[in-house]
This record gives sequence, structure tokens and C-alpha cells, in this order.
Amino acid sequence: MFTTQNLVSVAIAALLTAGLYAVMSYGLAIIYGVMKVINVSNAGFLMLGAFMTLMYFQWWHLDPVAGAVLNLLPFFGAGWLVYKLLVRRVVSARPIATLLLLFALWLVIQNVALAIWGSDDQSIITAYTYKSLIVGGFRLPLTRLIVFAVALLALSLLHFVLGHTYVGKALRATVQDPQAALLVGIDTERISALAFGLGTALSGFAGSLLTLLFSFTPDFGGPFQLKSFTIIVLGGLENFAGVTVGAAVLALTESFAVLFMRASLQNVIAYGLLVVALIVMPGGVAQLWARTRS
Amino acid sequence: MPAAPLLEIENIAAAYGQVRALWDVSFAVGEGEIITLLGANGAGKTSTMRVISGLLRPIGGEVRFAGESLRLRPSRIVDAGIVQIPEGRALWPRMTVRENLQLGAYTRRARAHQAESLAWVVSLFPRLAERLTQLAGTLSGGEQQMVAIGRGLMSRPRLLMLDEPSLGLAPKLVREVFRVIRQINADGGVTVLLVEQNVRQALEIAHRGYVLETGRTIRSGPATDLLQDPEIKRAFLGM
Repeated sequence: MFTTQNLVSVAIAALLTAGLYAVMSYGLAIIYGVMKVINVSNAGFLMLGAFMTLMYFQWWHLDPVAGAVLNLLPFFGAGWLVYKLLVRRVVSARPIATLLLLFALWLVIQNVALAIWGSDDQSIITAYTYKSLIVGGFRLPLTRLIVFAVALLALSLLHFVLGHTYVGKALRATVQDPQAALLVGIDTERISALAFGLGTALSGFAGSLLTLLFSFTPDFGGPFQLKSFTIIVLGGLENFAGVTVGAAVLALTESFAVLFMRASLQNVIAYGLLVVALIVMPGGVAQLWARTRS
Repeated sequence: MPAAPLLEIENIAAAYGQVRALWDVSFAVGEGEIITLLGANGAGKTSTMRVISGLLRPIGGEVRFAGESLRLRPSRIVDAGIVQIPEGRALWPRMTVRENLQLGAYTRRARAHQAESLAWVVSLFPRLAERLTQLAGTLSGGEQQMVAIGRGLMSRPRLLMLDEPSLGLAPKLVREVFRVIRQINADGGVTVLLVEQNVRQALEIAHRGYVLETGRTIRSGPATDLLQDPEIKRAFLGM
């Protein structure tokens, strides 16, 4: 039943999904890294990203990939505002305060979306939605290829900014030691606002890409949110390279599990993996790696 | 005091929540001086530095720098010309030595002189030249301390505050660190405020010293006098 052909095609599908998973989790990792806040409202912005893409598509026949790019700026602004108006005021209180605040924000976004768009399933059908490419005997859906390529491009850009610009380095410095960052004159308050904006922009971006692969309702951010949690925990929470590894691990596990169990149980894998990761390797793959080497 | 005061601390009081750390600290640092703060653990040396660098907001008293009241955010204080090298070095372990140093020159004023500053730091610590591409977390303790001092210098400070720079270093490296501090002061013209458990060596390179006890300044004097003082000898030099 499991031919090599079969397994390879599952592996390819998994890796194509991993790109999208990494993009939708990066924002969470950046925000957590900089201010140690779990941005639960991420799910709301993911969903909002998808609906805005639907709007662009209906108004201007704009392709979801263009919609993803168009989302970046307004979602950055929205995240920046959420930080300045809300998060900043509670960030030094106990973690439960920010968690509840952002959870409430998610609910607000969700209910506003319900009021505007109703609870019907929405989807975007483009000219290439049902097309596929045959590469080396494997049938690859075009949408997955496009999403993967765009995700890869976004991740490369992000890596460049974090690795080679002053502001990107300042952000990484704030993640690794915020007090040291203050002591060299980095305005960590500004970096936090920037990180929240960037994280939210990535949610909006990922939300757009999701519309190429899935139908959506105002409730749809939740399951993806949990996948993102699993990914950043697997990645080691503050390790940006770990996000990519975590995304690959989750995508592979999910895809191969489908060979053994019903597809409807796929989400169980993500949550199961989250539980296992938290208990067995709270430091993520990076810690596991460090441990085996030392 | 030999020179006009660059830094003046007047009756500073500070607390961490409900826990009072500083009651009444006053001292002055002249331009070009090396000043050392002496005192037992918990006397308030580090807290005093944190007040100056803006990490700890005082509940009373005043800090004046170059004649002006210093009530700024930490990032602006670095820009004004004060930098603190914290105890334990606090490097960014998963960034390279070069990145650590580059970020030392984060403020706009310092960024323009980045290449010059880097050349200066490497001339002070030649060993760092071959370590620039290495992750800071993989360096030895001594090398990490060099990066920490170098990172501070990259901001082109007028006042360099060092908190326990020789802590945990081998004796040979301790001498090296003190030699460089003196060099930074003498050749670089940087004013130095030093906190050191290595009291004898600190007093040997310092011009003057102040003694803190339970959050108060209780004594002051030229370093040579403090070195001879029987009470200081008993309390800090183990004699």
C-alpha cells in the first residue's frame, strides 16, 4: 500500500505546507521573543487577512498573492496600534493579563467579522485553483507551489532584515537580552511596537495565502493558531531558525499520520505534538540539538 | 577635585518595589577621572549605576551630567554619553562578536563613527580581531569581558561605568582588564566609574574613591589615602 512513489509525494506535499506554516508562525515567534507575550489575537488577524483578501478579490479581482502583499502595511499599522494602545499598558503585569486581553481582542475581531460577513463558508477560486503541474511523475497542485514559493520569498526577506539591518539586529538583541539592549541605547519600547506590527503584518500576509488552499469562516483562525503554538514550541520559542524546523516537523508528522488515520483527525496530531513537546523538550528542537552535541 | 564635575550625584534614593536600595548617595566624578565605588554586597553600588544609566528610576535626589539634569530614558542616556558595562557581561550569545560590537554603536551619534570605534576596540583587544565572526556565546569568559567593554566603547562614551569587570577572570586576565581600563582613561580621555570586588587593584588605578554602606555614601578620598586607611584595609583588603 505504501509505495515509494506514495511516500515521496506525501513528503513533498508536507514540505510545501511547511513554508506556509513557517510564515504564519513567525509573527508569533517574533512577538513572543521580544516581549514574552503569546499573541492569541494572531488567530483573529489571520482570519481578517483572509477576509480582506476576499474583499480585494471581489472589489478589484485582485489575486490573493497580491492581496497578501497589500495586507502588509495596514496589518503592520494595526499591530503597531494594538501594541501602543493595549499591550503596552499591561505588558509588565502578570502574563495572564496580556493573555486575556489578546484573547478578548481575538473574540472582538471574530464577532465583528461575523457581523460583517456572516458565518457562511467563503472561498476564493482563481483561474489556477484546480490546475496542477506534473514534475518528475508527481502531480503538484499549482496553488500549493505558489504558496510555497511566496512563503519562501517572504521568509528569505525576513531573514535578510533580521540578519543584516540595524533594526533587525536590534530586534534580535532585544530577544536575547532586553536589558543589554537598553544599555547600548536601543529603544526597546519602539522595538516592541515594531515587533507587534511586524508579527501582525505576517498574520495578515499568511491569512491571504491560506485563502488559496482553504475555505474560511470568521471562526477559522483557531486551528491554525494552535498549529503555530506547536511550531514555535518545537522551534524553541525564541529561536527564529527553529520556526522553520518546527514547521517542517509538524507538516511532516501531519502528512504521514494521514496515511495511518482519518484526515479529520489531523488536528489531533498538532495538539498531541504540542503536549509532547512541552513535556519532553520544553526548549524545542534547538535544545535537543544542543544536548546531543554536548 | 581636580577637574570640573562631569557627573554629579546628589542625595539619590531608590527602591525596587517595596525594597529600599539607596537611601542617600552623593558623589561627583570629574572629567577625566577614574572613580571607584567601594562597599560590601548590597551596599548599593550596582543600584547607583542603574540609576545613572536610567534602568532604575530614583525616588529622590538628582543626577546631573555635564551640568544638566539627567532625567531621560536609557536609550537617550547612552546618546548623552554614558554607558554601563553590566556585571556578568550580558552579551547577546547567539550573535557574532562583530554584531555585538556593531550594536554597541547603535545611537545615531555613534553609528557615524562605527568603523573608527571598531578599529580602536580591536587595537585595545587585538585578540578580538580573529573572533569577529564567532558567536559571542562560544567565547571564553575573558574574551566575553573584552567584547562587553568593547561594546560599551563603541557608543563613544564620555563616561564609562564598569560593574565588576574582573569577576570570574583568571589573574592574568584581571591584570589585562585593569591595564586596558587605565589605557581607555589615559589615551581615550574617557571618564571611568568603576565598581570592583578587587579593591586593591581598583584603588591602584583610581584617582579617588567613595565608600557606600547600606545605600549611603559614608566616606570619600583620594585613592592613595583610601589604600592606606586602616579601616578600609580591614574591611576590603583583608588585612
